[in-house]
Amino acid sequence: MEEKADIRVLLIDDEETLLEYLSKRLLREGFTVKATFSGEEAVEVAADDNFDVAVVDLKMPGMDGVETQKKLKKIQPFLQSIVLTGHGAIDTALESGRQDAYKYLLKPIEYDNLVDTIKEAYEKKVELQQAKFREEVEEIYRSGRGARGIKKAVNKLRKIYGID
Amino acid sequence: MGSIDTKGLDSEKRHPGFSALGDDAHLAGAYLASILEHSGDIIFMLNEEGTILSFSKRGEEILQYSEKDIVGHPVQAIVHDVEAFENALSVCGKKGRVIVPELAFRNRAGTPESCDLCLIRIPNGQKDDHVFLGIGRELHCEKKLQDDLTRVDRLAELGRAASGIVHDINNPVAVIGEISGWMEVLISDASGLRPDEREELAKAVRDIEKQTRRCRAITRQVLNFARESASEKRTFDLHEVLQNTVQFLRSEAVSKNIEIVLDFMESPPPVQSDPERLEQVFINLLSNAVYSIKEGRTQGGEIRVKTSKTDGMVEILISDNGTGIPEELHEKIFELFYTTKPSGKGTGLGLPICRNIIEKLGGEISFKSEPGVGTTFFVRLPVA
Ligand SMILES: Nc1ncnc2c1ncn2[C@@H]1O[C@H](COP(=O)(O)OP(=O)(O)OP(=O)(O)O)[C@@H](O)[C@H]1O
Ligand SMILES: [Mg+2]
Repeated sequence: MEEKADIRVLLIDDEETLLEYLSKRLLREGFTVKATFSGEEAVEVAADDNFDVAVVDLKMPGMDGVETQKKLKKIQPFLQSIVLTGHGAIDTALESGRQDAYKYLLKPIEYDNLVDTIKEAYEKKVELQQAKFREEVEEIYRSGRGARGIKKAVNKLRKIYGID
Repeated sequence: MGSIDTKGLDSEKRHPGFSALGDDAHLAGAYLASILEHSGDIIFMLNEEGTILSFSKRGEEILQYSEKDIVGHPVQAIVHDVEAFENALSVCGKKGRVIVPELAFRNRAGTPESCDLCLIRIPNGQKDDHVFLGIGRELHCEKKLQDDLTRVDRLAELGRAASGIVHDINNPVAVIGEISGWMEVLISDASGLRPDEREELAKAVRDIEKQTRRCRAITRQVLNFARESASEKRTFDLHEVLQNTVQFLRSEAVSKNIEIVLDFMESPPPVQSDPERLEQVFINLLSNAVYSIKEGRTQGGEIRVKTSKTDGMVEILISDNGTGIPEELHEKIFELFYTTKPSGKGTGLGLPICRNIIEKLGGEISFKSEPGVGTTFFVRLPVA
């Protein structure tokens, strides 16, 4: 049941060499990966492309992990963020947890653990998205449009939510 | 000790407290006997030649001789710094009293026991000679504690100085870890390698990974030391901190089949302490517990985190049903760098850091353990 090719991951960390190798591994694992080296860059990229999961380092010069994650969420509400935090920064990490990061992981990251967490985050994203989709479909039906109108509206929704 | 009358105890210049005894020789005898029996100091009497005439109970305990074994022997038998002692005796003979800071006695095993020593010459009324009274106050505990504290402080200092560097080292170490992960992939994908070559390469890369893990363990602990110095107290909800910490380690525990049970008291009193440092302590204690369960059993692992109120303090219990700690190691586990974990797994800094933090916060840390059954650590903190 490998469907990883569908999972689009956005990586954000200022440590470029680390991202270079991490993205290679994740690509080989079958994920679609985009590496960005700052929060600002990530926000720009997210304006054009859709992602399922973001992996963001908490400590970065400029926009930090928590802020980046908040901005990303505004652009792509269903995007799930995994925040990487250093030892002893649990408080900040929990703060970002309250800002609905999917999960915080202790650095240095255990690769296998990261892969599992990305998959879980993806599932959460899909679940939320479908729930919202169903809600809006029901809304359309309730709106008392004709059959054709409904079909059209639902198709439009499918496109927005990427569901077929 | 400075309050002792320098002129000795000739009958005209007695300590005022002494007059309460009047001329009751029996009472005076009983008084003296209880002093010798119960005083916390080494109290002894020497004749003019330095032969031991009497020896207090505490002296027996510290130097591990019984009075009857030692009476009649020259005092040099129980002194480590012989020359300094002989000097002091001769000065005392002339001046009537002398105080020697940090003079070492020697116990039966030959180990020096440092004391602050006071010698007093007592004229012997009837005969034309005198005896010496000696009072030695043990320095051992205070000094050892002091030594420990200075050592820990030095390490904290070192940690602070090093933390900048350590932070910078952490990143490249993480990168090396990531690169070796990638190499592992390359090696397993590569075609045209002989199986033994492949195995050899794979092992080399695994070794790199192992060593980077080791670097991380070290840097993590150095950072802990560095952070610990900057304690900041505030009032907060202890249960929340405990919950967060447990939450943090839960996934690791679950993956090892360990259940973490929280048993919190109702309406906890607010504590005035440093939540970040405490978080560090709880992480250390919980990871020790996780490790010990992993070593000790494959099933039914349980860690219990319990809070309660005792004697105006809040008590946090962290119990595990892991390996337990053998009796003979009880003394050791709080020592710096003491660890039973394989190299790369433990630094032996965890518990000394915990103790240092808790004591700085005005609390106490202790433990009970039974090999094969488990271990409970107790942390007590003052309430706000
Ligand atoms: N809950 C426990 N059960 C059994 N043994 C323990 C427990 N806690 C501590 N110990 C023993 O005490 C030793 C010292 O612990 P300490 O936390 O100081 O260092 P460490 O855990 O070995 O290293 P580090 O904390 O750097 O990982 C451990 O190696 C272990 O032998
Ligand atoms: Mg430890």
